[in-house]
Amino acid sequence: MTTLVEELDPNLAGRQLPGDLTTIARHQSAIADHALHAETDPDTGEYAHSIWFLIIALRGMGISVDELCALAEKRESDTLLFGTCGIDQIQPLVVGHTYRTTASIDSVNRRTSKDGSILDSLTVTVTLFDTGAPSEAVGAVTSVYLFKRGQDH
Amino acid sequence: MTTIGPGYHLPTFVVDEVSGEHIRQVALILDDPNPIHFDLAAVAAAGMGTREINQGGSTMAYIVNMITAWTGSRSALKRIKCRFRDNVRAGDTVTAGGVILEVTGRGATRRALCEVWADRGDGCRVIDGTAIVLIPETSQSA
Repeated sequence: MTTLVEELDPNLAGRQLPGDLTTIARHQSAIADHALHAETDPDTGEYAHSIWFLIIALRGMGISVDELCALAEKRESDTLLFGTCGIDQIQPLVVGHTYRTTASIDSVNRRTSKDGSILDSLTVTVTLFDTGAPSEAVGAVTSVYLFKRGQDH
Repeated sequence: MTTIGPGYHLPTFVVDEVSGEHIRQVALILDDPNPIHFDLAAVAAAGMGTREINQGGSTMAYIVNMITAWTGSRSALKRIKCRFRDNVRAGDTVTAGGVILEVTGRGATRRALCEVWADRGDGCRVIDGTAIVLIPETSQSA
C-alpha cells in the first residue's frame, strides 16, 4: 500500500528561520580547501573558498538539516537531495571572520519527476553579514532542497 | 595576452578520483548528517549504488576552483547558480568547464557571464548553471 505525505504547508513560505553566527575557523578552511582540491587563496591568502557561502548557509539557518527535514515531514523512505544553489558573492569571505546569517523559507512546491516520483521542495535564502562590518550584506545563498518521496510498504 | 569574449572556453578543472575520505571531511565541516555521504548501507538503502555520494556543494566547488584558477583571485566570482542533475560518487572523475556567453563593462568592472558545468567521467553532466565573473585585467576583450 502506498501512502503519500500531504502537500507541504503553504504557510511555510515566508517563515523566518532563527539564523546564527558562524566563524570560518582557520583549520576548517584549510581542511575544506584540501577536501575540495582548492589551492590556498592565490590573491590575498586570507579569502575563504567561495563555497563557504554555502557552508555557512547550511550551518547558519539556525535549524539543523534534520529540523529542516522535519518541516518537510521527511520520512525514512524519503531522500533529501540538493536541487539548485545560487551564491551571490558581494564581498569574498575572510578566514577567521564571523558571519551573522538571516534566513527564511521563500517557497514550497510539489512536482512529479519524469520517473513518477513525487518531489517536494523548500527554497531557503540565507543572507550573510560580517560581524566586523554588520550594516551591509556580504552575500546571499538561495538553495532548493528536494525531498524525493519514497513509497511505504 | 589572452583574448576574452563570447565563445572563450575557460581552462577546465579536473578531479581525477573523488575521494570518500574527502566526502567525509566535507560532511563534518557542513555538519551534514545525511548518511548517503558516509554510510554505504544508507547509500544502498536509498537505491543510490554502492559508493559514497559527493556533496553537490563539493562538485559545485570544483567549478569555483576553475574560476579561481582562471582569474587568479577568489574575489572574482560575483554570482554562481547551479542545478544539480545527477550524483557524483567516490571514485568518479569530474571535469569542471565553462564558456563565456557575454562580456560587459570596462576596466576593473569588466565581467563575463559564463555558462558553467561539471561533467562526470562517463560523460554525464551532473551540474549545469551560470556564473558572473570579473575578468582578469591581464586579458583583453575580443
